[in-house]
Amino acid sequence: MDPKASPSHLSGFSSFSPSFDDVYGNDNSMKNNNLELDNNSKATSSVDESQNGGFVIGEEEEEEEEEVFEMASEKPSVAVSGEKANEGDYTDAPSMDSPVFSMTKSVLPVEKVSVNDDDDDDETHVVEVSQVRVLKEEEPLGGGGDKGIKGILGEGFVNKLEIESENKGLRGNDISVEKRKSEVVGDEQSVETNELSRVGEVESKGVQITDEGDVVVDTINVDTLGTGAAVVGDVERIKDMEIKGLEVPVDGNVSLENGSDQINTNDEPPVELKPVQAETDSQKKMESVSSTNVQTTQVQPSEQDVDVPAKDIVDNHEKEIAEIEAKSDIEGKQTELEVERVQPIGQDVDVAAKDDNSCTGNVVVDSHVKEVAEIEAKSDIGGKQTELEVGRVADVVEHVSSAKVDAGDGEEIQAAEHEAESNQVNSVHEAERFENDKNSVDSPDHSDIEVSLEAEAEENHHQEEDYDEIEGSATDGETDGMIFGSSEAAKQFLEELEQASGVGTHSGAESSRDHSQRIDGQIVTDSDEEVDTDEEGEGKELFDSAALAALLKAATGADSDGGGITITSQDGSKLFSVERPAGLGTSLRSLKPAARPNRTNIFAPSGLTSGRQTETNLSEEEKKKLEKLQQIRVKFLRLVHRLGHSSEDSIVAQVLYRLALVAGRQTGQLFSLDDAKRTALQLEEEGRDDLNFSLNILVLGKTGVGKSATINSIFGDEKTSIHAFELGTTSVKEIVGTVDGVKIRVIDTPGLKSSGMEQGANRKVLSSIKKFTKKCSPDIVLYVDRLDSQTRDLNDLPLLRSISNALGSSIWRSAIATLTHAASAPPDGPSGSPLSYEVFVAQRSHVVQQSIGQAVGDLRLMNPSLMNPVSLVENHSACRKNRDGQKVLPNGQAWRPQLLLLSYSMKILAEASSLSKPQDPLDHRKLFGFRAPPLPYMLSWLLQSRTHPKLPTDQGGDNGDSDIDLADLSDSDQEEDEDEYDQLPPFKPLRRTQIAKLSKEQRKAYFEEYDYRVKLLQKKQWREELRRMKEMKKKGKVTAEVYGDMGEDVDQENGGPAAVPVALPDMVLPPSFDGDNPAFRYRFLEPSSQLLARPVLDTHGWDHDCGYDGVNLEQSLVIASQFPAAVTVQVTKDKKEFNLHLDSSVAAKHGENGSSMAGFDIQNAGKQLAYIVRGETKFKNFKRNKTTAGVSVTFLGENIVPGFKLEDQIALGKRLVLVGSTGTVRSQSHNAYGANLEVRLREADFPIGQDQSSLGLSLVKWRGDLALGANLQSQISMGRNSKVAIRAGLNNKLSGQITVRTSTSDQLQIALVGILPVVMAIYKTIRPGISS
Amino acid sequence: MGSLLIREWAGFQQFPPATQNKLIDLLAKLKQENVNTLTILVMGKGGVGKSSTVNSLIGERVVTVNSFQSEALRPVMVSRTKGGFTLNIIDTPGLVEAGYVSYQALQLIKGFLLNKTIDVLLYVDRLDAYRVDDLDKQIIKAITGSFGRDIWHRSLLVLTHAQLCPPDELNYDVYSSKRSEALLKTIRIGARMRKHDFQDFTIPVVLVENSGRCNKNESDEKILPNGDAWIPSMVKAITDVATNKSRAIVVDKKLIDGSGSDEKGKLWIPAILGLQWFIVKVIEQAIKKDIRRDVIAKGNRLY
Repeated sequence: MDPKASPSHLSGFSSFSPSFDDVYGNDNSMKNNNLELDNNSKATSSVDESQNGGFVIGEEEEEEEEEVFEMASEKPSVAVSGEKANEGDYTDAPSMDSPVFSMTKSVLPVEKVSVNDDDDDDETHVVEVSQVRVLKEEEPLGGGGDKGIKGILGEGFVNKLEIESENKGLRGNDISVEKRKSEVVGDEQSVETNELSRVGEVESKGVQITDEGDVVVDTINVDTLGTGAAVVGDVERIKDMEIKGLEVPVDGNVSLENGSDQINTNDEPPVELKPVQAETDSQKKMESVSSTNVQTTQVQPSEQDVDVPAKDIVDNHEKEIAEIEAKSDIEGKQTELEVERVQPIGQDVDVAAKDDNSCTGNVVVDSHVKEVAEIEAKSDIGGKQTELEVGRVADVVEHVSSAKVDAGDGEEIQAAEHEAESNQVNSVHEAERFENDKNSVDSPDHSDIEVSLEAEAEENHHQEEDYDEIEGSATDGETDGMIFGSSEAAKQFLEELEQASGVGTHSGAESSRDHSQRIDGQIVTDSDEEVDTDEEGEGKELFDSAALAALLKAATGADSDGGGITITSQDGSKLFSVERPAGLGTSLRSLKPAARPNRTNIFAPSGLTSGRQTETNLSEEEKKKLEKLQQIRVKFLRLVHRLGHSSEDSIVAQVLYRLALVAGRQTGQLFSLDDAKRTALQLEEEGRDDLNFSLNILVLGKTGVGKSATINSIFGDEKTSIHAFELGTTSVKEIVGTVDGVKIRVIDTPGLKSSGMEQGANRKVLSSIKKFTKKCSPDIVLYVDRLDSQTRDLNDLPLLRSISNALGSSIWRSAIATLTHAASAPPDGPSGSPLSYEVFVAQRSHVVQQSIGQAVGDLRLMNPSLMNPVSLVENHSACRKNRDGQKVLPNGQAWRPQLLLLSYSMKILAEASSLSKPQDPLDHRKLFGFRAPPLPYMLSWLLQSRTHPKLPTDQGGDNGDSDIDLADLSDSDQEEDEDEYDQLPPFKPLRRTQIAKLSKEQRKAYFEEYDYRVKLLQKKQWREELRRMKEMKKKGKVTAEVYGDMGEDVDQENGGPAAVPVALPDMVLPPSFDGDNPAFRYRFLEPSSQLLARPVLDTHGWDHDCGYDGVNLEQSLVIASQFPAAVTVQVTKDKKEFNLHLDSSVAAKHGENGSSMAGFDIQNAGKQLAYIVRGETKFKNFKRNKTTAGVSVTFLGENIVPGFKLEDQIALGKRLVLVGSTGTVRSQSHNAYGANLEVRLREADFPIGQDQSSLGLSLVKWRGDLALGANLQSQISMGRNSKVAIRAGLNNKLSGQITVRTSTSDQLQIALVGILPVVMAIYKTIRPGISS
Repeated sequence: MGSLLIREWAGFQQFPPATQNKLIDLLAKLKQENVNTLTILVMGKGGVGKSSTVNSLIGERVVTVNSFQSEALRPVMVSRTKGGFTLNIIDTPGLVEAGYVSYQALQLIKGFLLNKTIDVLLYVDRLDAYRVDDLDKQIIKAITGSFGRDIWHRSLLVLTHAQLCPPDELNYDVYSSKRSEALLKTIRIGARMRKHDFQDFTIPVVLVENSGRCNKNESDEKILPNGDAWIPSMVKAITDVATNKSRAIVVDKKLIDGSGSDEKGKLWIPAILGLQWFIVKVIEQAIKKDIRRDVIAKGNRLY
């Protein structure tokens, strides 16, 4: 490996000094590189974890947000950090807060709503919604996620509330929503966010809110938040727009987004829907919660949007009203509430409500569910956009004519699907017109509106379907087109509205805008802007148009643009502001910027832009996969429902969690648990029998344990004959039945014999079973044994082994240990009193699991999580039964549903994992197969300091590139040293025999003297070489023969007098001659040409003999006789992977103090090849200071990752070198920043003495997670024959590693020290908390 | 036999008075028969309740019982005296390991039993198991092989976990008789007894319920579902066996080392040698005769 590479291996994030290579003696850079990768991956993973823990996204970039979302989706715990700075002033605050929030994992959402300053404006109190709702999910599974979302929502509400207060008296109305504990201090309104309150709670709250009025609405939102973050976000948006609170809304949105990327917005609506459901229930009662939820979610967003526009259009008061109405819509049955509250606004509101209703009502439920699933399936962006579009269209339609128009739109959309865009646009226009008309109509009668809404609802159903289709088919372009259409339509609407009826039109326009907002987080921000403008009193139309434009842009899918636009609009201060269109700038208020930071942090980056991008980037396969996953989830939830279990059941929760894991990153709106739940509930209530689920069960077990009886119990029917004393089942047979609508096919088998002598008979049975299973492979294997047979002494081992051998040990993966006779009384414990049932079951389960593990011979024994699940069965007719007639165990559990649930769960999980199979289950995060590249890894790669290839003439020269400052070695020193050596008296080395005769003291003295002389000699040689190099440089002559390739900096550092031109550090030979050691066999003795070829040794391999798994080739050459170039190719291949690593670089020297290098690298990154083009320039600005600046562009799959770095190296004295580097890489609008600081301390006469230490600190910030790592390396000579290298690393996640290497030619016993790492490893394994 | 300190049978006092009375009667009966020492060997598969049965019989917790692990890795003898009568009960480790009969355990047991006399063998199995499999047969075979077929004349079949609710709506007595029949049949086959042998004597079956939650009757005796107080019945069955006409099994060196197959055929060795010699002789003569005939034939041709 070339020297260049070597530093990289050593250094994780911080580059270690190359000299360590010697110590490690590993030539193989590849391995090292891999290690680095690992480090990186760890870093990323750690980030994820932290996210999981609940991140508050403060100012973090989009990337971060996305991840957070994902995480949230995966794991229930979503900490939404929406901190809102006060309107004006606290831009920074959010970021800071957010982290804190994230940190807090307390179940209680810490919502600190502090009313910050009142801005100059009237009542604008920015409620800082700095509340961190760090809602942590208590449960890893969905429940938790919901909660987390809720927490976020709570924040959003707070913001909204505040906003409202600003706008009008609404504040007074503002009610503090107590659901969550978050208190909005803002305008006297303390909104208490509910803690993790579920939908039900939310609903109730929501209802309250509605009662109260505007405030109520806000609260409702909060509720919705509880259910679904997205809803809250919308509400927030609306509010923000109205008030200045835009910031706050943004946060809400962000939080939502966090929950589920872009999809999040969608998700949010669903979430909201749930709360809404409650409300709706109260109002409508009739609607099923699930359905209502879905509907509400959809509706809510629209409503929110609508509200916002309404506000904009209407005066502040009006706006407020409109908002309120919108809120009410969102909350419960939006339309009604809205209408009631403010009539003028109400019309607008009504429209919005209608839209919402329609969505929520008929359409919403199905559509949401479907949409969610569909959306997931589709690319996020596409799906979202399409959805958004639809939503928009629908909204527009709704606005225009809430019911009919919407329906029409929906239908159109459906029909059009792909083509639909244009059609849709047209429809939109039409819809707008209609809407205008209708709006006027609607305004008169709320009831009418409602009716229309219902109609819409029907239409909505259609639309839902359409949406689905659209999602599936719709491409980004289409969506874009759609968006444009909508924007145009919106504009038209606005105009129309304005013309037609002030309020109504306004509302309509608003609604349209809102819709657009809904579509994208960006849009939302746009809407906020609009609102702001409205508030300002500027031309509403203008704003609208601007907003529309922004929306359009966002919608069109220019992620960056959209994000930028939004962000900029919100706060000019941020990065994104630059991107913002100039036209919008005027509309921005000074206040807004302050608020926006929050939004941008939370919101814009992750959710909107990046989220979309990711969505768009989702391949069709992934979309399909997600869709399927969602279907699976729905299916599972339906099954759970049929079994009468709740989704809080621990098994259910686990399954849902794992499903979320399988979904991986793209768990946005497309993959919303809430939606799945709603869908499932709805489908179940509809009594549909379309559950495409069947189960093949293979029943195995010893004879007479109750296999057939268990089967009978499962079916609740005498399907097979049982007999106590004779063989009940004599041949393998298939029993088919239906349980809860699930077709179950059971393969009943004759009992197996446990006797070791009878395994022949077992084999016969098993082979016939195998024949059977070939026809229909079992999903589940029930290994039946008796709970009360105290099998010990491994009695079942032969039997279990036979099963493993005959059917393959993989069947145990789907095996459930089924223990019959579960109602039998526990035996007496050691104390003489009977054991408790739980202990009995646990012990017995353990025995069975252990036996299975032993028979399979895997590591199950060590890992409880891999144990086969256990279910209990009691077939006895006298078994106690509960009220439902189900047999219950002594612990009160009804076993049959439990067994079925377990079976379903396993099948579901198997289905899900089969979906993700093609991807390689191990990197479901695609750590290195990235859609999103592993930026930290790229970063560390970038930050490595590299040596520039040099012309042979320049080798060792004191140019800008050299790591060693020759100047440090003063001539006088050299002279002295040389003199010292020359002046020594002659010294005659003794022979071994002579040494043996020496006394101990003599020997010691001899060795000291000997070593001293050797050292001096080495120094002398070293110095001579340096001098020669200097001379050569001066003369400008090439004496290539002598120096060849020598002088690679790394080599110099590593090996001291690097007189031999070896690009790779020489292979380290084992200390003792061991014929088996391949190092001797494949020793690379003499380079005969410029091309160096050598084997690559994997020193970490277990195999003593076959450590070689690759070949390394390298060549140094000179191009055009002035550009030195070096090429290194290393190819390694083992059973698992093939790795290719190519480094090539060309350098050009600029005078004495500067050097530029261009390089091209190819290397494996996961399963992909990364192509890296890099260039850097190094110059020596002072004698002891060298600065390097470089850029790199990495092409990884479809990603292009640009990077920039800056490095500075300062030598302090001879012994101390300070290296600092910083850099950033960017991918898909995610940025990763990193900084390394390294201090190297070397022995005074470094090249000769090998002692050196280095301390590296590295800091990486990526996706909002700050990874801090410290590495310490020290290499010390101990005695004359031993060297110890210690390497320790620790990061801020408190995971670390310690490596101690000793090499000695002394006593072999010392090698025992090598046990230390082993002991450490064991210790860490035992206490996993210590390491990672 | 008395290597261990023989303690007073304190556990006897733990029995309910009704049981004590019955037991005293039985002991008196034994004394009548001039039996002052009773050595009971308990054998069976692992986990069927051997140790628990021992504890129940003694009335003390003399052997540790663990439901999920085999505690008894080597035989344990518990000795108790009561009024000049000595009761020795030998608990043994389970005879099955990893699906095979553990001949190692058997060897341990035999070593432990050296120079002891077995008056009664309790062969323990569970009543609530439904099937008899080949392993049971092998265990029986192993026991038979170790101690001779005669040991079954001094044995009892003890079925534990007798407090059960029979499956298939079977009557308890029917169930237990079916279960014991199945086991007895196995024993008969395993011990390779001929039908008429088997008919000569019957192995008594005793049902046992060792659990602490065993039902009790009004006099506080543990009873079976059919109402029998099982401890007295077991002791009665034991005394019956101990006093039947069969010989107690004395475990001596010969028994432990096997059936003495080294000795068995020794007498035949000279006879077989003689026979061989005779046969060889005959063959030799035949060959010689053949050669001679051949030579003659050649000679005929020459001439």
